[in-house]
Amino acid sequence: MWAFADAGCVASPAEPVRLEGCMKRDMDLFRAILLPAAEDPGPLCRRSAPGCGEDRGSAEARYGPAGSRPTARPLTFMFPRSTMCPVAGNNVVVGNIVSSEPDLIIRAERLLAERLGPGWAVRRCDDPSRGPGIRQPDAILSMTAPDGSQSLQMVAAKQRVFPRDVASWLSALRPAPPGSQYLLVAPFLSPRARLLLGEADVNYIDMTGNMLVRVDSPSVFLRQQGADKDPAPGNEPARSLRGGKAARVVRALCDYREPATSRAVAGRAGVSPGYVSKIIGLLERDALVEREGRGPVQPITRVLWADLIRRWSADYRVLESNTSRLFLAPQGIPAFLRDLAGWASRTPRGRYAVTGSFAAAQRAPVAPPSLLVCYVDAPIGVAEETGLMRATGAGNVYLCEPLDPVVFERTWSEGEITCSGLAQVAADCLTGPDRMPAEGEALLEWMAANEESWRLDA
Amino acid sequence: MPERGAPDPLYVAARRVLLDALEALGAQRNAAILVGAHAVYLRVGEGDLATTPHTTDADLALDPSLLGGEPLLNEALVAAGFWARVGTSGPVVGSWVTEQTVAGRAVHVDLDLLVPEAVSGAGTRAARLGVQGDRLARKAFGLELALVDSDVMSVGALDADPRSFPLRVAGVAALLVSKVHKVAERLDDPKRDDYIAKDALDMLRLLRGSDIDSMSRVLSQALSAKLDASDGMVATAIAATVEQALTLLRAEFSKEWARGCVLAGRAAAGRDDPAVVAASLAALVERLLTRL
Repeated sequence: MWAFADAGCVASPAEPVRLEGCMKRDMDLFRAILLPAAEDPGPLCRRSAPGCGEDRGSAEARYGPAGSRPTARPLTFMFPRSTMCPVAGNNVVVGNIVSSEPDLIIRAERLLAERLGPGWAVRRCDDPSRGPGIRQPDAILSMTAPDGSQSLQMVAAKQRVFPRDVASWLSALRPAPPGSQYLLVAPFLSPRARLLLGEADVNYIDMTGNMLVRVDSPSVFLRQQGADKDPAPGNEPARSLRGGKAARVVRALCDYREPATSRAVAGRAGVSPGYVSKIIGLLERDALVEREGRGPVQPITRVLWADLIRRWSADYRVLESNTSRLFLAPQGIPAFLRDLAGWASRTPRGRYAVTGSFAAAQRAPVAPPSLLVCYVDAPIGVAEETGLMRATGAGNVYLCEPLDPVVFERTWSEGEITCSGLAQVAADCLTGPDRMPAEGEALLEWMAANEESWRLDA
Repeated sequence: MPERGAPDPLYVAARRVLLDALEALGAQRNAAILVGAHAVYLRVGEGDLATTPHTTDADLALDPSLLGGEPLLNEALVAAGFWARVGTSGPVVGSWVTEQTVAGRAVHVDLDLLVPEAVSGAGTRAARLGVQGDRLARKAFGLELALVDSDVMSVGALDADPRSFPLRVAGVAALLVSKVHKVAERLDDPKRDDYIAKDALDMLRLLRGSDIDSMSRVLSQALSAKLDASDGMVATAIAATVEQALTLLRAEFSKEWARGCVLAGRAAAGRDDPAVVAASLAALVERLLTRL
């Protein structure tokens, strides 16, 4: 079976599945299974046949005589919803469909042809030979330019790819033959997976629209953005870094040097070891932490903290995840910071932590900062104490009631100003408005060059 | 904090021209009061704005009551390399020009000599300055408060020029009043918008860099003619100037969408958020008016 035009339709019994683009091999299989049934419905039945209950899926097939291309002679069959011609390699997940690998290749071929446009030809070459010990691509696609020049894409199709899998696949990859590149095709590739592939000069296409195809000759550069979140996530115990507890674990991993056991991380983060294990599992799948060996008791030997902060920023937004309010400091931000420091010093339990552009600019200045983001426990009270005005339109100070008090932990000071931990500042910049993401990247660069100055010993 | 860039070369040249003029004034420097952008930046600096201070000319107010006969300033200025600006309809009274080299190019830099209207004598445009003649300086409305709200500061160069002179510099209240008049009287002239936008932004610098309570005290005293003016008529003129300025502030600068505030935002576009600048100016003007 080559292509279900509309993945997911099996989960909807009322919708027919249209089978298109069937190759001879598949049609032969299909005929062998379905034709007798079509004449005598048995478990399968014509769509219009009485007795086909609501719990049955349906399929509409176009096919012709064996050995010919499909013709316009439609027949409609009904068959149970979980049946999806397993002989042809399709997989079914109730409520969802994971495309088969050949299906992925066909769709990638079409996406590539669409993006290259008229004049280009994208064709499937003969199936590569297979055999014991032979590591072959799943398919080879040729891309032919209007001038006749050609390059080959060695296609690897994968059903479910975590960055960890990408990393191990890349590490086993041999150099592509001359005039060819590797192309990874998957239903979904996370930003981290795409980053790893891009860094390794491996092309990719996913079914949500993410695409990077770079070829020197003929000259091709296709880049397209699709989804950043998996539209059909699996059932992993932890899938996101949203929330305060995840923030505590991320901060504990970034702020302290390795090695660290899960128990130590749990202690630093103030969460249960079980929760840490779940998060570490997620981060291992994303190739963001490494352990000495397999197993939860093995210490973490490496945290890719910069990529971990970028990964955190996919699930966290400084102005949305925290409760933020915009104020106007009409006297300017430096004057407000002086007032804020004065308020904190004369107020019992008065605490604050500056983050965002102003904190980042203390270490990695990009441009004079113009928007202050600052954590406080009670934004309105602090605003009243420091002369801030509620912004009716424009404002220059965000006071944020934090998602978690970890923003007040492991702070540092510049002059009389207290700033959040650098990992926090970087994540906040990456997820902030205007030019803050660029400031976040500049800060990450500084942090990489000065790791010894901000990461703490265990 | 990131280092701010070096000052605009034209601003540096304008300060050099100011020092040339102060040198030429000699003993008459006692009668001069620094007003305009140089005075604003000396008083309050950058006003916590990313938009850098910038001006391409120099403004000096003259107090006729302190102006003597020696040296004759027309001659002294010419000897120092200045000449009277010539406009389309002849020489422009009070506008002096000199040449400076900026980034390898010869540029003309203006020096404006201004006399507060209340003490400038008869006539409509030229200030009548007795022995100094009536071609030296022109009348300017709105500078009156500088006659009493000013004190001596050391005015030096923005580059390696070692010269510096003690000079009366207008206070923040006087500078605010003069800027209000300058901006407001040109608000209806769309061709002058860009020219005066910088002055509107300087108003925010003044308000940010000053203690609003002190400023309001000076303005209150001026309103009630309690400042130490040379005579009662001058005190009355100062009070009238300030009163008009407050009316203009309320009408054109006390709401973030008011024309003066929008203009200030426009001057900051590119480096600062125009909306924040406009809202900040409105908020501080409102705060000042409330104190009064």
